[in-house]
Amino acid sequence: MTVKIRSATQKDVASYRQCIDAIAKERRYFFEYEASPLAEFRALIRETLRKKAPFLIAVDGERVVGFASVLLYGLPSLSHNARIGIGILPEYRDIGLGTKLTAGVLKMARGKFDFLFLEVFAKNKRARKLYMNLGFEVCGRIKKNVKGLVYGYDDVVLMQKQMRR
Amino acid sequence: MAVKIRPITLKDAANFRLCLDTVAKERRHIYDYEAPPLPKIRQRLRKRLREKIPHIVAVDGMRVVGWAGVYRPGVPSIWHCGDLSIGLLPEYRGLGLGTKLATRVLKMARGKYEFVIAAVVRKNKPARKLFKKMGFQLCGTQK
Repeated sequence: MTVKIRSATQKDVASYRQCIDAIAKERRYFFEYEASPLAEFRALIRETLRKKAPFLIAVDGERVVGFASVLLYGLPSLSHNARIGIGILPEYRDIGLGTKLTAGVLKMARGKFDFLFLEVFAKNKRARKLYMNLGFEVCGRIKKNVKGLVYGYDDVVLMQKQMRR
Repeated sequence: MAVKIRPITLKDAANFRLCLDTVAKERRHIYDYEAPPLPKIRQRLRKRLREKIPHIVAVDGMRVVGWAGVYRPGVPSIWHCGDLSIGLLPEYRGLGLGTKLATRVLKMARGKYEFVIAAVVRKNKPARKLFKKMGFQLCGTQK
């Protein structure tokens, strides 16, 4: 398989939604149990693209197999910060895509924010390691903050990375 | 001043918004710089009342001088963790109203949530002291 990393366009929305839905339904990595309905999802992506928030997808042909996205906060008092979220389809894991995608959006986010935050489930060791390697540090842990995963409850680990001094 | 604590009703919407707006504009305690527009407040309130979300106000006559709520987060996988929100107008602070509001709303939250989470600005010492007293533990700091 040849996987390419590129910016997303409005045309990728349906495939991107399928990617998110597949990962959500694994019930291991995401807060959502399933992706939001297509119309709602479309509006969300339109907003992301309009605001030029850093956002990359990995595609195999036309199929979206992974993504990394910077999510902006709605409140002005938090607009100097942002959150980051990534996901990769099962068959495309452990080949370095996550690192490439995340490093890519971090580069795009440079100079735009003071801090980037993220939330990762405690049992998701692969992702935690990836974030550590890219300079994120743990800033908190909320006990049993998520439930309904294949293994029941999990703690949510909060991480942050300083983007400018 | 005789302050009463009671569940919020839809009629309180405008007064609740005023209270929220005053606290927001202090730019000291809460994330918002100002309260959302009234229709939005009304819509949220309607939803919270329908879902029987713990939500109370402290009133001096008809005027809302403080509030407390344990709101439900957006995503089902975290519905078991309620978000605590509490606030008081400046002239009603230091009278023990915060403790009363928090105690009452946390009691209402019992059985409804498994955990309650509070986010507080680091410099807000009275609130941190209050939460500690109510049995909250610090689980993280975001710079």
